Parts: sequence; C-alpha cells; structure tokens
Amino acid sequence: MRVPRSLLSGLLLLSLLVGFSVVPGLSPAVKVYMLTAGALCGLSAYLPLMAGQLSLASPAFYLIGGYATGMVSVLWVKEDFETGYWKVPLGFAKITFTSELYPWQMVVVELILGAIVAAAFGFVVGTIALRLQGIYLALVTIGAVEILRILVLQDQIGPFKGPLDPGDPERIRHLGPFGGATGLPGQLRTEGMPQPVDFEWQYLLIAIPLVILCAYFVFRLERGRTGRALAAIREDELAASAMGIRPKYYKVLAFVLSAVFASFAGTIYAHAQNAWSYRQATFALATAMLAGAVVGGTRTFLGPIVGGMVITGLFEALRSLAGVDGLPGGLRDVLLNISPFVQGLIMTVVCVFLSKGLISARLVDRLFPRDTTLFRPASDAAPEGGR
Amino acid sequence: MSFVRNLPQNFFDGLSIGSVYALFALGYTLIFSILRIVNFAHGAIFTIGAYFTYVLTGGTLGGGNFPFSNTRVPFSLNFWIALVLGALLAGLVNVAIERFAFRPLRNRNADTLLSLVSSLGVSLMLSNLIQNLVGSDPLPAPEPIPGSKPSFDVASVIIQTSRLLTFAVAVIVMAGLWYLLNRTRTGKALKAVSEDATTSSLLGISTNRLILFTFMLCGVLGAVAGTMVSTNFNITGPYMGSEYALIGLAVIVIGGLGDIPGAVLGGFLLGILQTVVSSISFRIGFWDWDFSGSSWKDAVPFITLAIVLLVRPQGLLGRAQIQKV
Amino acid sequence: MKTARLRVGALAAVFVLVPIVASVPASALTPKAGARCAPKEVGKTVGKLTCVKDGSRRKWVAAAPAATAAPTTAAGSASATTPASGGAPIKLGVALGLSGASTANLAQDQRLGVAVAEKYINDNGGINGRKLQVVVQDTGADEAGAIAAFNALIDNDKVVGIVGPTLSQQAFAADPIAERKKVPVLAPSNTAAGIPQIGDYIARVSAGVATYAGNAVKFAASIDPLSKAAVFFADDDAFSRSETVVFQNAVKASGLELLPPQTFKVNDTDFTTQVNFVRQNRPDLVVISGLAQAGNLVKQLRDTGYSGSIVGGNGLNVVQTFSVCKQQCEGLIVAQAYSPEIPNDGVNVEFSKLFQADNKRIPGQIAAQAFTGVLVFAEALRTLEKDGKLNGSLEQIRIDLNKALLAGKYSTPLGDISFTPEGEINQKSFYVAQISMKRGATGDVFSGVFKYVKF
Repeated sequence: MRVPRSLLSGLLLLSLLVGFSVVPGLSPAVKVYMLTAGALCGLSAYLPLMAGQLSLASPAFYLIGGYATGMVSVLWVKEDFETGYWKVPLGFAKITFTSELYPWQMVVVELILGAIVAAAFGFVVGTIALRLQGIYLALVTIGAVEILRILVLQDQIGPFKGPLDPGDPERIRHLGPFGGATGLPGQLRTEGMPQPVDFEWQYLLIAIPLVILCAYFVFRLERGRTGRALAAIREDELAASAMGIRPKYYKVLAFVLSAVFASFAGTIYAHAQNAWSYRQATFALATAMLAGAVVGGTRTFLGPIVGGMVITGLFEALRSLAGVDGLPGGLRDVLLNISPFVQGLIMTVVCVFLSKGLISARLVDRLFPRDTTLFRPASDAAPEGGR
Repeated sequence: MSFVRNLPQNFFDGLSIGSVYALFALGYTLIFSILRIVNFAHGAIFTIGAYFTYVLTGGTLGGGNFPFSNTRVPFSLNFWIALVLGALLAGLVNVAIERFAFRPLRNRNADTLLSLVSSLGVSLMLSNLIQNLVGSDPLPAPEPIPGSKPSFDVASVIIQTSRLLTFAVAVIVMAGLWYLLNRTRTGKALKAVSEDATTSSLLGISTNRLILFTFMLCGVLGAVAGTMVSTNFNITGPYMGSEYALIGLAVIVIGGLGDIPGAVLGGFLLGILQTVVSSISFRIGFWDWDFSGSSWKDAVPFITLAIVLLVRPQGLLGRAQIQKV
Repeated sequence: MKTARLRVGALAAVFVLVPIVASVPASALTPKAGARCAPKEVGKTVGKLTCVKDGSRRKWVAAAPAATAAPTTAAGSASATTPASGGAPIKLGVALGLSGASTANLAQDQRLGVAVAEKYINDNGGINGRKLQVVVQDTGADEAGAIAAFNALIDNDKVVGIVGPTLSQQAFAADPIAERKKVPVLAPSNTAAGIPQIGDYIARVSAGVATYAGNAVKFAASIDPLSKAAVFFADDDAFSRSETVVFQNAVKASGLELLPPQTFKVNDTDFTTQVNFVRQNRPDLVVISGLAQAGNLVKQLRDTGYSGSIVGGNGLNVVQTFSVCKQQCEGLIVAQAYSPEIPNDGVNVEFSKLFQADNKRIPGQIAAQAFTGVLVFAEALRTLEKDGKLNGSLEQIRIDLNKALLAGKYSTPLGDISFTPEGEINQKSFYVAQISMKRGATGDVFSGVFKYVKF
C-alpha cells in the first residue's frame, strides 16, 4: 500500500504544478504572485508552525518588504529622464547605473534592507509572543498586523512629511514616506514602480530561484539540528528544554526567519504589481497563508509551498474557467464571485478528510531520502494529531 | 478639556457597544469552555442572524442580479418575534456547522489548529454564500419600536433610543444566560463538562447532546448581537461580522479564555475604552502632528490585548493554567 | 546519496522548467510593443517592431502601419488578430471589484450600467453590424486582483480596450500594465488626482473631484447663511483624502470658519466621536468624505438632533446611501457628475428607461459613468470601423482605438463630453442634488431620489 500512496501524492503534486502552469488564464504576473505571496508566504507561515507556534503576522512582514521596495526605488533611487539611467545618491557620492532598466543590484539592496527591518520587527513580535501559544499567539500576531497598518497611515508626522508635487493642485496634503492611504509610488511616479525587467515573465527568473533557494534553506534547516530542535519543541516544550534545547532561542529564530521570507515575497511582488499600499496586509491574506500551509501539509517544507500556490492560484483558475466562451451569464457571474467560497470549502474539506494535507511527510522522505536510518521523525511515528 | 466633559457621553455609548461585544464574545467563550476550540465562524453567524431578522420583518433584499435580489417574504413579522425566530434559525446554522466542520475533527481527536482552519473556511463560505444569494448592498435596519423618538437628553448626555434598547436586550439575554447556567440542570451539566469532560461523561452526562445545545445557544447569542448592531448601524453587507469576529476574540482573551464573567467584563471594558480613546484628539505642534483617536480605534482591542497578556497572561478573570507535566 | 542528489535535481528541474516553459510565449523572445530598448538599438527593426526614441524613453513600437495595412492581414496570420469581419463580436474588457468587501457595492452598480450599455449598443446596430461583446473580470478590492484581471483581459480575452478598475488605488497598480501593452483604458469611477497622467493610454470618464465637489458647498452656502463648518473624512481611503482637501478649500473660499478636520475609517459604522464633536462645536454645515457607510454618520447626526446642512462627497453619491440613512437622508446635498433628471439627446432618457426596466430603480452616477465608458468605446470603434481600421492586427487596433477615443466627441448620459490629450474628461455640466426620501406603502420601506437643484 505504501508505494501507491506516495505515487498518488507525487502524481497529484506534479499534475497540480503542470495544471497551474498551463491553465490559459494564468499570466506570468499571476505565477509570480503564486510563487511570492503563495509559496514564500506559505513558508513564512510554516516556520513558526515548526515550533508549534500559530502565527498570523506574516502579512505585516510582507508589507514591510513591499515598502522597502517602494521607498528605495521611488524615494531614494532617482531616474534621469534625459538618459533613462538610474542614480543612487549616497550623500558623499552618487552611483549611476548605465541601464534603462531599474538596476538589479538595487533589487538585491531592497531584499536585504526589507529583510533587516522585517527581521527586527519579527524579533520584537517573537519576543513579546514568547510566552504565548495557540489562539493567544494568533491574536497577538493579528494585532501586530493591525497596528502596523495603522502606523503606516500615520505617516504625516512633521519630520517625515514626504515630498510633495507642488504643481498638482489636487495633491494629497499629507503624503508621507509611505504615501498615506494611496501608498507608493502613487502620484510620485505615475508609471508605477520602476521595473527591473522588460517583460512580466522575466520576474519568474527572479522569483523561481528565490523560492528554490528559500525552499532549500528550509529543507536543510528541517533536516538539521535546528529542525530537530523545533520539532522537539513542537511535540513537548518541557521535555525539549529538559534535554538542553533552548525553546526561547529557537522560537524567536523561527519568527525572524518567517519575517525574512515574507519580506522577500513583498519586495519582489511590489515591483511586479506596480504599487504598494497598507491594504496589502489583510486578515484575508493571513487566512490564505495559514490555509495554504494547512492544505499543503504542515510537517514538511514542501507542503506550505504547494498549498500556498494552490490557494493563491485558485482564484485565477476560477477566473479562467469563467472566461470560457459560451457559458451562460449567470454561471459566469457565479464563477467570478465564488472564489472565497471555494477557498473556504477546500480549507474545510482538507481539514476534515485529509488532515495531513496534500504533501505527507512520507512523500518528502521518499523524494529526498534521509542520510541515516537511525532517526525517524516523530511526525511519521506519532498518530495523527496528538495534542 | 473636552475629554473630561465627554466622559459621561462616551461612557454611555461605550456601555451600549460594549454590551454587544460581551453578548457576542459569550458565544465564543461558551464553546471554548467546553471544547477548547475557537469557532471562527461565529462572525458569519452574527451576519446571518442580522439578515434572518431583516428578512423575517418583511424587508426587501438588495438590488443586482442575484437569485434573491429585490425579493421579500410575503409576510412581515413584528421585530421582536423576528428577532427570536431569526436567532433560532442562526442557532440551527451553528448546529450544522458543528455537525460538519467540528464533529469529524473532534471524533478523531485532531489538532486544534485543524478545527481553527476548518471554521475559518466555514466562515469564508457563509459570507460568500450570502453575497452570491442576495448581493452586497447595505440594507436598512428594521425599527424595533416603530415611530419612537430617535434620541432624548438626560442631563448633558444624549441617549439614542436604539443604543438604549441594544443595551437593555443584551443585559436581559445575559441575565437569562446566567439563570440558565446556574439554576437549571442543563446549565449545571454544561459547567461540569467545562470543568472536566471525561469525568462528567462518566457521570452520565451526554456530551454530544450538550455540545449541540451549546452551539445552538452560541448561535442565538451571536445572532441577537448581530441584529441589535444592525438596528444601530444597519446591515452593512455580507462581511459585517468580520470586524466583530476579531474584536470578540480579543474580548474573550482579555477576560480570560473560557471564563464567562470575564467575557462580559472584557466586552464592557473594550466598548468603553474604544469610545473614550477615539474621542481623544490633540496636536503636537513641535512635530506638526495631529493625533486623532478615531484613527486608532481599530487598534484599541489589540493594544489592550497585548498589555493584558503581558501583565496577566491568563486574562483579567482567568485562572492561571497549571502546566501538566 | 547519489540518487538523493538526482532526485533533488529532478524536482528542482520540474519546479523551474515547467512554469518557465509554460509561461514563455513564443513571441516573448522577440521584443514586444511598448518595452524599452537599449540606446544602441535605436532605429533597429525586429519583425514588425522598431526601436524609436519616444520623448525621453526608447521603446519598441509597431513599424509604420501604412505598409502592413489592409491586404496582408486579410489572410489572418498570427493569433493576435481579431476574428475576421462578418458577424464576429468585438470584445471589450471590463474589470470591476465584484467580490471585494469594500468595492462590491460600487462594482455591482457598475456591472448593471455595463450590462445596460451592452444591450443598448447591440440593439442599436452594434459596431456597424458587428456585435459588441463585453467581457467582465473580477478584480476583488485589491491591487493584485486588478493586475490579474487586466492581464487576463489583455492576454487571454484579447479585448480591444478596458473599462475599469473600480478604485483609484487599483488603477495606480493596474493601469501601468495596460500602458506598457498599449491598451486603451477608460476609468469609470477613478476620481483621485493623477489617474489620466499615468500614461497615454489611460483616460477617464469620471471627472476629478476638484472639478465639481466644491459646488455642493457653494450651494449649501447659498441657501442658508452659514458661519461654521465641520469636515469629516475617511483617512484610510485615498479618494476621500484627496476629496476632503477640495472641500476644505471650498469651505474657506466661501468665507466660513473651518473647524479642525476630523477623521474616521471607511468601514466605520459607529460615529459617536464625530457626533459629540458636532454637539460641542455646533457647526451649521457638516461636510463628509467617505463611502456609502458614511451614511451612518448622516443618520446618527440627525438622530441626535443636528439640524444644519450636510454635504456628502462622491462616495455618498450612490443609491445604496438611501438604505443606510433612510428617512434621515432627507436634504443631504451632494455634488454630482450625473443627474437622471437631465434629458439630453435622448441617450440619458434611453439609458434611464433601460436601467429602470432591468433593475426597478433610478440609475445613479456610478452606473451612468460605467455606461458612458462602454458607450464611448463603442462610438470610437464605430469611427474606426468607418475608416476601415478594424481589420488590422489587434495591437494596431488598440493603438488606433486610443487615438480615435481621445479625438472624438460623445453624446452620453453625462452630457456632451470629450477628452483632453492627456485623457482627462471635458465635461460641461455638473449638478448639485438634494436627496428626497419618501415613505413607501409598507411601514419601514423608504425610497429616495436625488433631486436636481438649480443654482
């Protein structure tokens, strides 16, 4: 019975990947969204889960990553309209990139800056949340997102009052560093965020390696000492600390890494989607991320990636279904409106009938065999659920 | 100082909205006290309750090309009868949720994370279902007492009739709940199960029937809260419950998870805090910055929550949890 | 160990290759219209595209259309051509926030306006005999959804132009995509500053708030002698934030004392704080910038005895307001870009009649603007068809359509309109309306109308 099950899951996974790739409605932009908001944010929701922590704060880190893009590429880097080149004022010097495309080096800078700020925020939230578990923790993290959203809207404090376009009679009076409610770039650059690539599909050349890199990192983490420590904390924190594992250290670490992944997603996606505002961080996104992780399976790194992509791609799959010619108008309207319903249905059905998710730990073990036969992970041995 | 002058007014308004928070949060806390799970679909029940009452009073549904657009039931009930019937119907919906989204998980003794996600899924499904059946137009609230004066003055405080009624209804329902829990057999059984489920089932209490009853009761509480909110602020659309869903969670954690008086206290506390904070506004000339409390209103529950959890992790009235080794 | 490495490699390959291979269209390897080209490539021609200096940028643009016009394309070569003439419908895209929590109200009205427009145009001969087919895509309430909808419309549905999206915020994200792909966009409800400036292909039929919002304040000041005004706005909504500036300036220009502006949130329903502010400061004019939910503020002000004038912004200018503030809406003053009461050349009468037949209520500004968006596209397409320019490649049609659209003059429910070269609407008539509520036959039911006022 073993072989067919893993074969089945493998086929399912492969057909999902292929299926989502060839659905006619899926434009490159959507695939970038699936890879960033879906896969990376799924990983971000997964890391705290590795330590048994239920965090819904990923949208906040996602928001930070996107604002890093906006602030660096719109407020800091300047475009020379004569030559189309990009200039980076450093105070003591000015670097000029002789390219008409937004320099990829600056995308790397954005990734790093966003990750640093997000990691700091993740450290603060993780430390505050150390004593909390389950629903308490989930609520505090929802609160963290809410507070960040409100802070972003309070950006009209004097010293931070952002640049205004004096020629615009209707300008928004208080346009702070975050662009207030309009977000960035808003009216500061009406063509949208600077583009590091010529065509949308080329974002995949950035997004796919990034996702693979992050996935590989989490894979190694999971198989290594840290992963075993996190699993031990998840199964029994008291026993783990009795064995010399420091739960505080590992929990905060999980939070910080989670923050970094979500901020990567925000940074890349902010470029791809042209604009960024506080509205990106919603409870619905947090729900979708958590749903992605649970639907995909919360015991291995592959689950959240696949689940996240399935949940974010779902909306688009339905959209392209609705685009099929010759559908009666009523059905078309229903298909356009019904994606939250289908998402909810998938969440409930997977929880009730397929509680291990689409990707089981066994499948991952077969795909990537472990080096040693001595250690069997608790996830495989323990009966489902447990606590 | 306008802040001090406004205090009595804010106190009254805070009591009114706080009573709704308390009523709504009781629905969470009762289920949590018995099953140790959080029913995220409670916000959707809140919405559904308001819609049921609206429909039963003979209201016409919103426009658009939806199956039930511009339709109404052929009769129109008195508001109070509609409130009771609507609440019972919402209770039945909640029972159905228990049957399909919670019981299979409970029977398997699955991780609480799964029940949380599964109820989130149900909540998405229900709100979206309303949207696809009746559209998302805001609907006018039914009037509890037709032809009543909208407001009257008591000293310097202006009292809106709908808020006074909301407060009164909430207090009556809570009093009824208190009676149910403390003076009836079912209530005592409920308390016993929340203390220790295994022992009580050994003592011959039928747990499954009791759980169904609890879900029914929680559905009624949520629906009454939703209807009373709609008499103040109208039905704002299929997503009107989502904001209350999160505030309600903050309320029960502040009061102490699973603690019934705690939920009531937390509800009133948050209601009053929210109105008071949103009335504060001042200006810091040095920074050229205007603080406007109403911008921070949505963050008040979470900031309060964070503070309470840091100072008293078990909640205001909660008992400290004993770590089982 | 070795097999493990192999499997990792294989899986990585699947992850990398499948999406890439599936997403790179054959044409992606050659330059696309609108993409930038390097300085050294100026003047170079690849396929049908040439690299030219366009203002400060270098872009790939279609080579001179005259050479490749009518005869060659009749054969119908590439996939990017519209179906050959005859009865094949012309596809027009519409992107609306149907499923978004905060946009559903607006989008629903827009959807109805669009449906009426499609019917009206096809009943009146379509595009000179060819049918106009409207393709609707849902954007949700966020930017990501708007982008996905635009991409789907442009790449899959192969529409000639787009009416949408619902929110200004979404326009800032999605319009640059249409601009890069050279697809004309008409915004039906984006009133924030800076929308037509996004690019050459972006225009709007919704006049910017600065043009007419002040009229309502002027009207209020003209009927009552006023002295003090309180201004409220939703600070988490881009549109309300820009509208309130216009209102505040209008208040100052009318010589009124302006109390410190107060904020609320778009989805707020409890306005205790704002009501208290009004009770203490006793203004005789209240100005509100928010969406339909702000009708609750109107209701709560009236419920607590405020009797002065109330001016509502564009967000309150929807029929949904009636069900929020009910009989307390009475007398609410709104500035409008559309009035159902003004007949002009029969278009408005016709639109109003069709809309009421379908939906049993009087159309509002939002529906009228969506109708106008589709109508303007249809008129421009008719011009194109007359000039025989409707048979070329889809890319060329889009470019020509944009030119025709900006050049034309249109008779619409909004009155006679045209566009500035930038894409901003030139609209002659704006209106001020006062809401009038009637108690219906059964108890609590109220019906409201926007009553046009002369001033």
